[in-house]
Amino acid sequence: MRTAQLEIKARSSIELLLILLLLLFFSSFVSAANVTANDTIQLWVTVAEKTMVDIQPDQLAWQNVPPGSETLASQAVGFPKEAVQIENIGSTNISYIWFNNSYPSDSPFGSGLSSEYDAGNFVVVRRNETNAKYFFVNRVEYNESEVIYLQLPSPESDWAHGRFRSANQEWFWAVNVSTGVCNESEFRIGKVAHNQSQLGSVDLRTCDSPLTSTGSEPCRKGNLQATTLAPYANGEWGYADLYIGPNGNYENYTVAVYWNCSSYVKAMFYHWDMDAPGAQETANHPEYFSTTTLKPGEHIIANVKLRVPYGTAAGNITGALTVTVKAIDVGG
Amino acid sequence: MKRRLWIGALVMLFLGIFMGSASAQLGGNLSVDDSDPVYITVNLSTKTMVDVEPYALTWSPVDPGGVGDNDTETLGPNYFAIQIENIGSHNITHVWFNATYPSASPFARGSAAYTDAGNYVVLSSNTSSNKPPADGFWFINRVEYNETRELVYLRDPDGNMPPNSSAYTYGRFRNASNEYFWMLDAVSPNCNASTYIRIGNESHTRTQTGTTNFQTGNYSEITLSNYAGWAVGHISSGPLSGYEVAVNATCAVFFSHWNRDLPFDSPGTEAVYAYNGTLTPGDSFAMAIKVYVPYGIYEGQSGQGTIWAIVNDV
Repeated sequence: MRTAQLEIKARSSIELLLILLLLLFFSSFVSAANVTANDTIQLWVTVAEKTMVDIQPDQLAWQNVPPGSETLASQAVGFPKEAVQIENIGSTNISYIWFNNSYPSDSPFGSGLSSEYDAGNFVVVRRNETNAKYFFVNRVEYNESEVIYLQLPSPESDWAHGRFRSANQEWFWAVNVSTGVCNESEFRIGKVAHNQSQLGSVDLRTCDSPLTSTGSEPCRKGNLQATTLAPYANGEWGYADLYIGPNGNYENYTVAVYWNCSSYVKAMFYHWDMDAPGAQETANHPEYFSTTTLKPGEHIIANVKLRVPYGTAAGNITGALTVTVKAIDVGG
Repeated sequence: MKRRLWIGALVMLFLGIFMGSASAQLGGNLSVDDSDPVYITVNLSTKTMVDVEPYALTWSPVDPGGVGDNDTETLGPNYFAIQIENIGSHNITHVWFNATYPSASPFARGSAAYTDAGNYVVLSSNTSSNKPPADGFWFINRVEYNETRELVYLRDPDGNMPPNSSAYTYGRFRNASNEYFWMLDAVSPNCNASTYIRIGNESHTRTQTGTTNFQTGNYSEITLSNYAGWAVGHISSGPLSGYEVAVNATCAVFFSHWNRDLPFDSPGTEAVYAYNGTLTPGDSFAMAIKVYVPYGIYEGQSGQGTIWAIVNDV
């Protein structure tokens, strides 16, 4: 009886062992199957067509700049370079880049207040290329009161005059205001700059014509052309291409004069502002800062300086330079 | 049934995404232009600067005893005034002038060597016309030296004619064609110890003798007092009223109206600032200008002179 019981237990143990082995076998089989399995999820996104631009640094500052001077890198504070980086942070190719700057709403000279001036009106920009020239973006000048050594066409009362001020150089200009409407008036500008030790071209009575001539007279003259396109339709401004400087060393600008000159004259000298009056019409001197495709993620550098005129009040002066970009062949 | 609803919802969701992207591509409200500003700040240093224009003036021809004015100014031509502009960054409160002058008497030299056109310059604050009137002009700091030859028709305060040159020094204030004799009660090298200067009230011209009697004649006496080593006096009466007179030890006599530097800045001075106020940066003012050329100046080009505008802020 005892033997029989032992046999039964022995048989049960063998069966149990076999079951365990089978379980282990299947267990390892299942485990091996999980390691080699995989699956893929398809991801896709449609990036919206967005034209976006970022200009950095956000702020440029210079200190201890004397009046009648151009800024130096050593005067820059915070950011040591006189430059900004324009980056395409959007998703479309940028085709055109241009600038505009802030400017005072009336003449700050003689006010004695630094708050009346606008640092945006001092800004000159150039392409980051060898031998590239600096140009004002859209410098605005207003007429001034009597300058006793300036000689104007007769009768002098028909003319208002002012200066295109570029650091320590000032070019005298005059515009015929006899009708109070200046969008087709005659505009004159001297060739030689006035500064602290040089009188410059102050006789504006006999000039070469047109404003882009290189004749022998001390000044240039020409008629303004009334604007016709929005947002300056109906002759809101008069404009003309002109050379500023002597015959052998002039700079290309376009001058735009606001139509109403009955009480004062507002004259804008621009080169990089393609929003300015006349820039999208027949003016030839304004330029886009860049017309090379700037792809998303790409950037371009613009050198920036200030040309602070004589007679600028001491203290802090603020302003803004704005970059504008345009993408073409984009919906919307 | 539930399974069909799930499939329908997924199709609608997919179509929605697809239509949204198509709408953007076909002209939704995407921005084509963009702009971004950079803010500009500049801190201007405090600089006091002044510019005087025109940079040069020339008068030609001018007769001896004549006046050079806008009609004979040739560089402009016809400049009639100078403009003084604050080209610095700081308010200017005072503007005055200096002028060059000869280091010795230019008369009786037989050449223009000792002449200095700065000593001819007169200024006026009246710029209401580009043909300034004859009056209202003042020298900046005209210098006169004593006469090099004895003037036999002058009488000194003691009654001597010609004057006693060991006790008195005399000369003329030359105002173009008008000359006013003056006499000091001291001689070189002690003229800065003079106690008075007598100035004739009547001018000497080609056709009239003027005041020559400094004993009992028609003259004004100006008291002189020591100031910084000079004998200075305030001329507040007579034809030279409005000038500050200053005499140095060797008898050079300065008449200043527009020069406020020492010694013309003594208390009660008759010298004035050309501008006294607040001339802000970019602002300017003008002064009419002429030259008064005396009789007896040698022909040809006089020595080039210079005038300076001097400014301060107080």
